[in-house]
Amino acid sequence: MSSAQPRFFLPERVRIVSTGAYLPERVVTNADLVEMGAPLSADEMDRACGVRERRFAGADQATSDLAIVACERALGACDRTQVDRLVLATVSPDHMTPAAACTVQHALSLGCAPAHDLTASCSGFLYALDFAARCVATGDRLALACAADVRSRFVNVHDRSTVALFGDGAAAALVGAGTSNVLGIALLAEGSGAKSVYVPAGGSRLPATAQTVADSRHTIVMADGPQVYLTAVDGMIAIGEALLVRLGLTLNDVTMIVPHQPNRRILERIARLMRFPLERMWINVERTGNVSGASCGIALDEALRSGKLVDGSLVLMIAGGAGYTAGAALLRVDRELVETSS
Amino acid sequence: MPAESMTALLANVVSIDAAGNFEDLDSLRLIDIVELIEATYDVRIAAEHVTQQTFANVNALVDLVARLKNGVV
Repeated sequence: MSSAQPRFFLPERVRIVSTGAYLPERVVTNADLVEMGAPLSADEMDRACGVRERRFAGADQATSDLAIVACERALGACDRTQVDRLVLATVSPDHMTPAAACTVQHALSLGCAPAHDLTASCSGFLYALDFAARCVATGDRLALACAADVRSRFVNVHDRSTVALFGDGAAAALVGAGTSNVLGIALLAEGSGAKSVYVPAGGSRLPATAQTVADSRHTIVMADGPQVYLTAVDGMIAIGEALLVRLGLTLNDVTMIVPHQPNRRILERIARLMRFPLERMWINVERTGNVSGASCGIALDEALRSGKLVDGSLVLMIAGGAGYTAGAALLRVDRELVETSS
Repeated sequence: MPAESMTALLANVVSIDAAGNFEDLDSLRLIDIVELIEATYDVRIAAEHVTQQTFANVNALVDLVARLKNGVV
């Protein structure tokens, strides 16, 4: 994945108007996972991935419920009749069909705005952002890019390679026309890694049966963790650097990296290999876990609201995940975005 | 770089038998080894370098580091 050439989109008049994020109330610590039957100690989980706690959706919450809250926060007082599109990146939709985006669209009273899901795993937010940006560039007034996942429903608590990693949450960005603050987006997919991280059963290849459920085949499988670990690192670095090169910039120009949050060790390795100060990388994985496609958006929302980004700050978002997929986006924070985030 | 120094480096991370083979190499230890070797020998190990063969024993890793140092990987 590291040597593949991404597809670039350099919009001329597309901006992130506002962002929103939501983490469910229920905090699940590593000790809680041990009580549920995890085959690792709390310390081992911390050491393995740097995740100390994560949020799990409540029993009455599905992915659309989380997405609705994140979208509401991004919309704020915006005139919803201006929203011409909703795209929801998720790998854990409420149902196999229809799209969870339709449920979100209805709840948000977005009229008849087209709404659909997309599946890009941990790169989901950036894929959704790319789609929304292209829609605005071709005439939509406002487009909502959302990413949301309830990964906890697909985790096998007895699987030592994945039990500690994942959490639930949602993020959204309202995208509109105007002076561009989205300087560029890069995306790629490398399908040879399609089974690197996947859920074997429940789709058309292996429909769910009592046996597949008994065998936990409906949960996330990551057979070769080290390969995924190193591929994610290489892929996220490569696509981030490729986007900067395409824009004639270097890492020296970047104020902050806001990455997908696969695990802390991966982020530390990325910072080290990129020779980028770890303190200028937004890291929340120790308290959110890996929220799949929503991670990058949640991190962006937190970073924007932290007060650490000001007018002119350059933010490089990078993500990589199952598929394999990867994405990067460069955002120049402007005064309007700072104000809507404060 | 002699295999003895690689063995000494990795002995605290993974069990190594008399023939230099790793005995209990799980995912977490493998990543530990990758990062220890990178820090010690100033090389970068990418995903394509991590195979069952290269991470089977000390000699294979010595060979990998030598190839990385020589830029022939």
